[in-house]
Amino acid sequence: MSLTLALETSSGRFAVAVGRDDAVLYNSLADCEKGPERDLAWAVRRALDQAGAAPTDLSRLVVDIGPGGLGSVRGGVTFANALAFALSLPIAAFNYFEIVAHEAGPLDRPLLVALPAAGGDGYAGLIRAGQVVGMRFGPLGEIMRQAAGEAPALAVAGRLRGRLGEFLPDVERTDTGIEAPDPASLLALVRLHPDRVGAPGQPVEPLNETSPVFHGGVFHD
Amino acid sequence: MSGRLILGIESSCDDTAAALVTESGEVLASVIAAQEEVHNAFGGVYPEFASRAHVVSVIPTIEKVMADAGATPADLAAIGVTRGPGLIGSLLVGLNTAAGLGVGWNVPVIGVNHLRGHLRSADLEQARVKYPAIILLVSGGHSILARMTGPGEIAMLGTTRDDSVGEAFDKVGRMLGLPFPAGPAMDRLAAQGQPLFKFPRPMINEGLEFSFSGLKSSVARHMEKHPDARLEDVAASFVAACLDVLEAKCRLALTEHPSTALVVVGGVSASPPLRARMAAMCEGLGVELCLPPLRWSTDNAAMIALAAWDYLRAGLYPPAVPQVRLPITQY
Ligand SMILES: [Zn+2]
Repeated sequence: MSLTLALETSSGRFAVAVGRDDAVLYNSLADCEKGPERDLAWAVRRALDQAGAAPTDLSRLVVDIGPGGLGSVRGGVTFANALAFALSLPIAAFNYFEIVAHEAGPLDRPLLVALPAAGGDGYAGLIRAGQVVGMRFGPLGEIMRQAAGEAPALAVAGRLRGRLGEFLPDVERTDTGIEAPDPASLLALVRLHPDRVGAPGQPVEPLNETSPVFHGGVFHD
Repeated sequence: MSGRLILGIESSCDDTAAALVTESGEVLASVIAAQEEVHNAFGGVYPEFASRAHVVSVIPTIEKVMADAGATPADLAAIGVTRGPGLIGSLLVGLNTAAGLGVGWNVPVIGVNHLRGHLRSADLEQARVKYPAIILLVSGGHSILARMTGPGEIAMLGTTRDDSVGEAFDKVGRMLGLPFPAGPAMDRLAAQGQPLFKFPRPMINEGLEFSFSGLKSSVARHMEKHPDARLEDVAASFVAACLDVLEAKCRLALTEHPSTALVVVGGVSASPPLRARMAAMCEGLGVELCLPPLRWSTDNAAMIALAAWDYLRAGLYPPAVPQVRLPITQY
């Protein structure tokens, strides 16, 4: 019996879900009632209310740490850290690429996830057999070509997936239709990876372009 | 409302601060995590780094202030958090932290105008302000003249049309090769020079508004034309021009709006020549000069908490949403 609150932060709209064990009790994406824009306190109170629970009933949080909308990721992660501190809850953190990889499911080709950052830069993540094998930040064209490598065919996801023809004209692209994560995927991910749950009250950090994950690892070996 | 404390959170610029304050202004604990090392290297506040530093320091800052005061969430009547004006990336860290704590602890969250915090800062620890009072707020971020007839009752008299005094100090300081922030080094350099150069006193006879960018430019032009001018004399001449303007504006405010006291707050109020000028002027006018301790004059969270008490009494709960610009007349 563990009540989990999931916060999606990377899309800028703040989607929220509440789950108990295998069951999703609430998902804001299916809720017609929309609160004030970017008001996480409202969204979380509403979510718990609809799930018939109080904040003190929560046993853990699971959070999307980006990358994505700079302000929304930072605001959402900060909110999660404060809520975790206030209630001594543990947090499990997953990045945007891991969430999209989970949503895309098994594919017969690599998955390229692409999203924009400020000033003509962007983020790319390459996923093979469900594993994120590399993440990069940098000039859009350059990182997309790096990520695609020699692959003749790719599945694509993320906010920039419609623009990849500009950078990768010779690659056969299949659109997964995935743009922003579903917070229910976070609930599924934390069940699959209980080892990712931190210590009670332990804060997590949002990803940004200086995060080491974007500057190590190789896309192709 | 049950608790006897307000937790103040301030993150509008480069310092992360938290404080616990009673309704009468008693400060049980105040913690400020400064980012000076981060910004010294850039000669100013670099907004993106400021925001990232807030993310890391905000929870430890709050944890420490609660521990220092031996306070529990049950002691809190509300959380008051700066909603603006300030840097968007910095504001949103404090605001979302307050929102998360508010949900977790079941405590109301009040978005507070940072400027109202400054204007209330002089009543922290003890009631110092004799109302009605003219308040001069001079810092890196602000140059404001206001009149207060009581706690929370604020009328704006004038602000700057361009740079703040502190900004002018920092920009001229950079021209003179001084470290950031330049205030103390500028005062020391000026003390060794003579005000030989007649820099302009912008808008000195035009109402209660300020303007400092023309003064800064004319210092730059002067240094270009006279590269061998003694830096001590340039600093002394620049400081003299600033002080002339500030004194004239305060004198006019006190004449047009007779008041019991003049209160000077903000980082620039640490300047010894400014303090001396204001003391002489107030003595001449028969007005009480109030210079609260500098720790409450520069950005801190105790002033935000004290201002939040005004909101709570008035039943005002502005949304905890970042406002890059926020006039002092608004809550
Ligand atoms: Zn300030």
